[in-house]
Amino acid sequence: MQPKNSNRIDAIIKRSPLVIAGVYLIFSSIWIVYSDSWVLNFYDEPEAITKIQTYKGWFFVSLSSIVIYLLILSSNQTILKYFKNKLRVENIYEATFDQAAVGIVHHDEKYNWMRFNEKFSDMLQYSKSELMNLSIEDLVHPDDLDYGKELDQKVLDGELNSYQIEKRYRRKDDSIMHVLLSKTIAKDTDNQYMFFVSVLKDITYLKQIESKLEDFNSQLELQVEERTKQLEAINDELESFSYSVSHDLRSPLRAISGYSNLLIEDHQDVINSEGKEFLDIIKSEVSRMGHLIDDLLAFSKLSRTGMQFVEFSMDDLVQKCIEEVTRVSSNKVVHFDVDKLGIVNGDPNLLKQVWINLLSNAVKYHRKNVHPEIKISSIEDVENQQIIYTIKDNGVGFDMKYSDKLFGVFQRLHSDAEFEGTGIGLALVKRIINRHKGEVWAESEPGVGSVFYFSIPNKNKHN
Amino acid sequence: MAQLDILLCEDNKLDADLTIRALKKHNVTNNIVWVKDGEETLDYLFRRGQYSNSSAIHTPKVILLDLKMPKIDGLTVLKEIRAHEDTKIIPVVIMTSSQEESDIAESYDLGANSYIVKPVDFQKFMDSVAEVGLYWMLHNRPPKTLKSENS
Repeated sequence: MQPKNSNRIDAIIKRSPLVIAGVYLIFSSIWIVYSDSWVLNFYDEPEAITKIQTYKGWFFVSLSSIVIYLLILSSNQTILKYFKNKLRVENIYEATFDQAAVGIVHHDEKYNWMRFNEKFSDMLQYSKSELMNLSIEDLVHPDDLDYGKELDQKVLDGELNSYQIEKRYRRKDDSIMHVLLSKTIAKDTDNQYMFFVSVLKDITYLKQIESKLEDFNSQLELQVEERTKQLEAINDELESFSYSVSHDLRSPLRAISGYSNLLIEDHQDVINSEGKEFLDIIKSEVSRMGHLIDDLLAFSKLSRTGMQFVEFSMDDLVQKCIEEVTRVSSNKVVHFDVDKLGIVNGDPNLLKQVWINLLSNAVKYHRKNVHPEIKISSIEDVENQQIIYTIKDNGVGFDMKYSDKLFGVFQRLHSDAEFEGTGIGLALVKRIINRHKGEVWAESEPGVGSVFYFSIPNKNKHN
Repeated sequence: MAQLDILLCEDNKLDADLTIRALKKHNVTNNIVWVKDGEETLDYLFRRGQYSNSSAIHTPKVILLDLKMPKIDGLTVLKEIRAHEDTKIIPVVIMTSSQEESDIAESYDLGANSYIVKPVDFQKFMDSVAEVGLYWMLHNRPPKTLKSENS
């Protein structure tokens, strides 16, 4: 079937008569010219010469017959071999065509069937004869018809060698079959168009799985949405619970505080010094609980307030916070070292709370007789598209094995006697940073100092 | 009793007691009426229910109003006060435990004159009650209509 082979056969068929005639001409000429003079070398009697020439003539005829026979035999064998081979290839092709697990169709440019295999008619649920009387318009889904024809034209025009598309066919029972179609054209030995070759693979099952998967996905999304709503509702409930708890707790606390004060102020003559001491303890504990409730309130309030995202200068904000923190702890000598921090996109009011908490912590948890030295810097984390801010102090530090407790609500790593506090500050920081879609973490070594890090995404979008 | 300085609307007995003590202790006033819920507040102001036959009813110089009260809550009471000709110009100071932004916004929206969050700390509580009392009793100048009715 290869053009190279068929060209050779062409040449053999065209040339072999000429070759045979040529060889015969040369052979007989040599014979005529030399055989007589050769005979005269041995014989001189005319009678003997005549006799010898007769034998010579027979000999010549026999020899030339053998030569011609061999020549024709050899050329015929080459031709025979070629056709046998061709037949074999065709048989293989035929078998492949009929046994293929895909539909194969040959058709001309006017969409007349030239040939199709059994698989193709089976796929469409028609018999071969039924299919012969149907046109492509009867089989291809109307929406897919024009597109396919456009592509065929491109192949004909030589703009495309072949193409592969997904296409819908209508089966005999009117159901839709999804097909992956590969199409190209068969060419003759002169590289000219002969017919279209279509190979069709039934992908209906895949399509069904695909749409099922899509269904599952959308169902899953619905489920996630529903669960999120439920979670949000639970969250709201929790928030309002924590709000009303802290709200209602204030009232009895105020009464305890009020009446213990009234006892001290109005009835001091009947209370001894130990009683007064107890009342003072009650008072201070009440005030501590008041702070805890206030912090809890602030914390629950934080998740309920909306965020206002703006671009602003972190340098200005940090400067303000440093001034505020310095004012509150004016009795301490604190050294601040601030790098350039740049512009950030976030809620300045909330981020102010972050800085105030982290900076006042850095000041508060200082070592005895060591002036707090606080270094503030930032680096851009290009890979994760965020800015990481760093607050490094030389304070008391903490044991890293408790670092998971650091950002929990009401979790403390120091006693009230060492450092006062309610343990809400870092929980607040974590919540604010998380609401900015950032992270907060810390490293520390006891007696050396701590480093707090928090990240803010570069392109923070309002949520 | 020709006039009334303060109408105290507070459902919590102890809070009410502490408030009255604070006002007395700072010599702001002794002339206080305590009503224990929203319904009673409105009954008092509009002379209804248990106050319908009472002759000793006077328009207060200032109303201290709690928000969370049984029956009728503080915001509804405030709405009623502002809706009536006779009571709409009486200064109303919200005194509550609620720090909710929405409560604060709604109170001012309904015409509250001031919003005070009751501190837990007794000393701060005493101070703020006294300040509120002093401001509205002594420093604030009400319009003539309110004055004439009180005098």
